[in-house]
Amino acid sequence: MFVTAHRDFALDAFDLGVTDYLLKPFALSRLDEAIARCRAHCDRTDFEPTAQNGKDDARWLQALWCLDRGRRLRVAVSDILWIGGERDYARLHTSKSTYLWRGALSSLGAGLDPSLFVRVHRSAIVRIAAIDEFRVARSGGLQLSIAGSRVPVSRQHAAALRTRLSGG
Amino acid sequence: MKTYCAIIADDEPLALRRLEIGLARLPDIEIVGAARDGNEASALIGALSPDIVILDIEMTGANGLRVCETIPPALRPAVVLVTAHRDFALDAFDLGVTDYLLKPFALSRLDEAIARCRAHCDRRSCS
Repeated sequence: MFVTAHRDFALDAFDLGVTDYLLKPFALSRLDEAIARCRAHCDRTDFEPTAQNGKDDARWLQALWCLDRGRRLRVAVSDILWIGGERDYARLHTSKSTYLWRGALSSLGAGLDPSLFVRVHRSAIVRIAAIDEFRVARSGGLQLSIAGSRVPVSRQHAAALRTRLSGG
Repeated sequence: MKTYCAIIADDEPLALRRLEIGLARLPDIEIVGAARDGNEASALIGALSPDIVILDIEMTGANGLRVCETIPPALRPAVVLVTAHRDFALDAFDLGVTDYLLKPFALSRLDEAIARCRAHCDRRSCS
């Protein structure tokens, strides 16, 4: 924090990345505000090493911004049960609702932790831990049940999925 | 990879374009709105709740400092002011903005501003 009677160093202060700049004479309330910013800065510094320790997490998507009637909603990846592909969009299914994410399912899949998610169909990626049921449907094809939704499994992905399920 | 939504505002088309080009180099920054004056910027911020707001100061309609004052406190986006004038830097500190870029700025300085914005947003989300 800089404290000075001169206005002229404020730009330099930004370039240096200082937390705050108090012009003398300052009100005590302004000092309190500066200290609040300093606390926030210090807490951030405390937080950074933790983020670096969790390097694996940093490799994978943590949240997705989804379209919702002109707004954008943040959907945490940890809330996603499964994802269906819909042309240029992916539909994220959580226990509460579904959300549209703009982008192809394949590009989304590349950002998901493969120890948690598995591709089961050209148009579906599922959270392994969310699978309630795995069975042969009447049609002869394989089908998953996740929170009441039925998700098709393609022949191409079935073997890999069986291995994953028996492994864990 | 975490992505950050950004709104940019400048009444000079070339300056807006330069910001777009600068931010397009950063894969985790997605421009969700571009405003040509201060009032439009305020409306976009209210509608889109961006993580990052980059505002020119001297704009028609509300100027960048005024736009910054009217951002609802609950949104707490990281704000970067961009201007050709040094004189607003003290006001910028008083408003608690994340960074202040003097035009013309190097792209490396923009990258630094964005790095500070990411830190601001990450701190916001973990508090």
